[in-house]
Amino acid sequence: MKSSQFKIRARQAVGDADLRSKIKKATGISLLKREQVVSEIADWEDLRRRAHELRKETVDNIDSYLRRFIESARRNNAIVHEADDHKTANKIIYDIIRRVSAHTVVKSKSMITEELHLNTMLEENGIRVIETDLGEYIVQLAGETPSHITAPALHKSKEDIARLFHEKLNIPYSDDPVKLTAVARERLRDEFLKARVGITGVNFATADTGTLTIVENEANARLCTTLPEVHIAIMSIEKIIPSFDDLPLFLKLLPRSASGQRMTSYVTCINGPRSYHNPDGPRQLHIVILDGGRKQLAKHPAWKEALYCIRCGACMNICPIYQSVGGHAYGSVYPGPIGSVITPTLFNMKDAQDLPFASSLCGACTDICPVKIDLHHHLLFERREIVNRGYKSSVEKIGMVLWRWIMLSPGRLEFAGRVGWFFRKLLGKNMPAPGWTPHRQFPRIPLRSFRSIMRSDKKHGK
Amino acid sequence: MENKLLYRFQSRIQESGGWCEISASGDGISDILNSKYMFEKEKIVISGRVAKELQLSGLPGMCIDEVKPNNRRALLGEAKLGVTFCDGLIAETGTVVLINHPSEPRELSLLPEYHVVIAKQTQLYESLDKCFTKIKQLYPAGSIPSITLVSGPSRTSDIEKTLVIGVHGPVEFGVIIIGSR
Amino acid sequence: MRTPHLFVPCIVDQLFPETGVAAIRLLRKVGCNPYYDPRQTCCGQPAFNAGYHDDARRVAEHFIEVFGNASEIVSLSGSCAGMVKVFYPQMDLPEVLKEKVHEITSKTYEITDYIVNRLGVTDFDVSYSGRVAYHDSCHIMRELRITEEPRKLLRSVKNLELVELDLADRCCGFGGLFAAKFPEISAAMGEDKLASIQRAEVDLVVGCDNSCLMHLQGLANKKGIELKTKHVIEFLGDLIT
Repeated sequence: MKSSQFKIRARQAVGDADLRSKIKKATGISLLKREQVVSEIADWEDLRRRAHELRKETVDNIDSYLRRFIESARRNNAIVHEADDHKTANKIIYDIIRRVSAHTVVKSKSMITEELHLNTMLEENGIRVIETDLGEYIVQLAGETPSHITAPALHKSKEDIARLFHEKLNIPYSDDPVKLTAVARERLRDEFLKARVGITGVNFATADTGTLTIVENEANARLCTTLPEVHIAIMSIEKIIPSFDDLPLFLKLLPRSASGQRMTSYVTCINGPRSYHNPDGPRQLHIVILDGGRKQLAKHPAWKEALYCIRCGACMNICPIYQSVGGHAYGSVYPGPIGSVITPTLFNMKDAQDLPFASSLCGACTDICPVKIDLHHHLLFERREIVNRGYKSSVEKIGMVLWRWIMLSPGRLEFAGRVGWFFRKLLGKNMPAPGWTPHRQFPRIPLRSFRSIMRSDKKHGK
Repeated sequence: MENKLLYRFQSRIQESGGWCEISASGDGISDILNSKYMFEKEKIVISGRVAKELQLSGLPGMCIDEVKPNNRRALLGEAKLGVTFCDGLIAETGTVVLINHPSEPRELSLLPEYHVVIAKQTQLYESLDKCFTKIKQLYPAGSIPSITLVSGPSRTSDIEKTLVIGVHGPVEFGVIIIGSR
Repeated sequence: MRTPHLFVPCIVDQLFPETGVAAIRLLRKVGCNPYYDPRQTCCGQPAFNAGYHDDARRVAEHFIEVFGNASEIVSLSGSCAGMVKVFYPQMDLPEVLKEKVHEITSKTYEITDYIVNRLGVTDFDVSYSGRVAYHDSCHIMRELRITEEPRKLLRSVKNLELVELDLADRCCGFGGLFAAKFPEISAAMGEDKLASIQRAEVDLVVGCDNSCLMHLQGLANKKGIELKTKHVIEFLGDLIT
């Protein structure tokens, strides 16, 4: 799937009334819950500002924070691996699994592994990957990718999931979420007990203490980081925050923004593998840190803000475009407004050139972002870059030159308006205009423009 | 002030699907546990910290310290109820702070179907910031054990945003606070 | 006497001249002597939002030339006022114009903001019987943070029942060029807005951007849904005749 086909997929998605209503319902519930728990925090705006400053501080000095985090993590007896690119990260992960001769890994939800296409790579190499987050489990069974960063199966109804479980797990059809969840619990518990390697993502990594923090509700990440002998934590460099003392701030913002909870059921702060200080847990803790173009992006004066993201998904929930087309239409790992900002800047601007334009620039995403990323303005300025790189058609370029030529002269503007009036008069309300009239009637064009009214008023001394 | 915190903690826990009871003394704990859970003794596993910290004896269940480390996981996999102590209660969010401890393995609060935390009223903090500051003071840099924050039973909303309690972790979560209102 | 220079954006000029006429009537009523400079054309927003900043800059320079000496600039579009106030300072303009832009930015007002906050007028002593909803266009709401001013003016109208839409802060789907580049998504968003308007059972929807209203009206007409839309200023101006 590629971002380059956004237009086609978006058109299909909009036409799917069933999909639209599922997405609208799910995002609506998330927004309502968020509103309730955010409104009870009097200094929410202040928290956003502080978080923004801390993210800026980290990204501006990413090399030094990265070094400090690695030192702290090594002091905690973690084995730290740095990967410049996706391929290297995948190889490191595969080698760790091979070294302990594991054939199965249990995995909790992680967007960075989606970015790495880790499951595909491992499965091609004969390693079974079991997604254990319920939403991810559903998506994996269906052979799909997540359509939302915190609610992967948001695009599926309970009937869809019932059919899927019935077919793939060979169980009697039931669309009761309680029953479906119980099936997943039962099937996966055994896998947790058997697995020798657990893979997780990381929500926050504190530079001063080397602590890995994982936020979740189901306890699958706890199981992945407790039962297997080996835990592989995969993170990108921007997951770092300066200090353990900053953690409470981010834990106040993330669950509220993501799932409308004051705190998720579980937050795990890992300070190393089993050791004198840590009486239980895995014997080996590997931390794989991916750069993947981020150090470069961190140098850009504006777009570095994309690295401030804490992956709450609130911008997706509030975005009217996301609500209309869903996550899969974007064809990118990260959908929604943050996806449209990060995909062209971090991955491939040419392929993803439609994404920054797929926004009405309404700014709802910027207002909801817990770390105050100026999302819609980044989309706006990415458009300039796309034009400057020459990705646009010559027809559009000529159109713009023509537009400019008209707008540099009031006479030409008036003339253009009158031409419009003439055709509107001639063709009536069914006058066609590409992009406009398939969905909307062409507006009435009045006989006299404002400037012409003013001209004659002046003549008559009004 | 403390009463206000206690009340807030209690209502927050209840809002996230857990329960919270106040016991005037340690002796009341057995009564509360017995009234809620009628499991055989070997289905209830209790952290060694509970007895030590609260100087309690005669709790219904087996103490994890009596089980060899190698047998613990199997036992906990079969257990119905895990009882732990804790290292802090956060009133703002209804959160229990658990720091890794030799007498309180992580599995104890993870594998059994039910998880009950015993705490003292004096362990209440208003917010997570204050509790974390305390933790940092207690442990020198580089020696903080792993920490788990628990704020309710295991849950999911992955199917049509319908809340379902009990996914991979405990299906029920409760807190007994020794103190007074 | 104040002599605000009216900024009548291209869409208002060519498609909604009544809004401009009403603005003059309203401003005169409260003791202003509005001035219209016919050399004006457009603020440059269409090209700017399309990523063609060079083309936008040339048109912006024309705007700066026309309005450079105005004491106050009053815009009949929230979105275009936002273009001048928020985005002109971020444009790659020649150094000589930067100072000028700073000056222009600080003296440009969206018209309801101008009437309420600059002139201190909130009541035109008019009356209208009916249920009216105010549509918050995104740029006036989020770039300029103006939400209360138009509502204040509407609330002062006797017998008018101001109704809040249940999706008040949600985009109608216009988005300028977006409406033509992604017409299906734009229309889907507009339909959600229309449904919200229908639920509110209002006689009229007013707003501070004719472009959003034109999009909604066009959608409603195409679908055969009865809808009446008007710029807030035109609505008020019509009442004082």
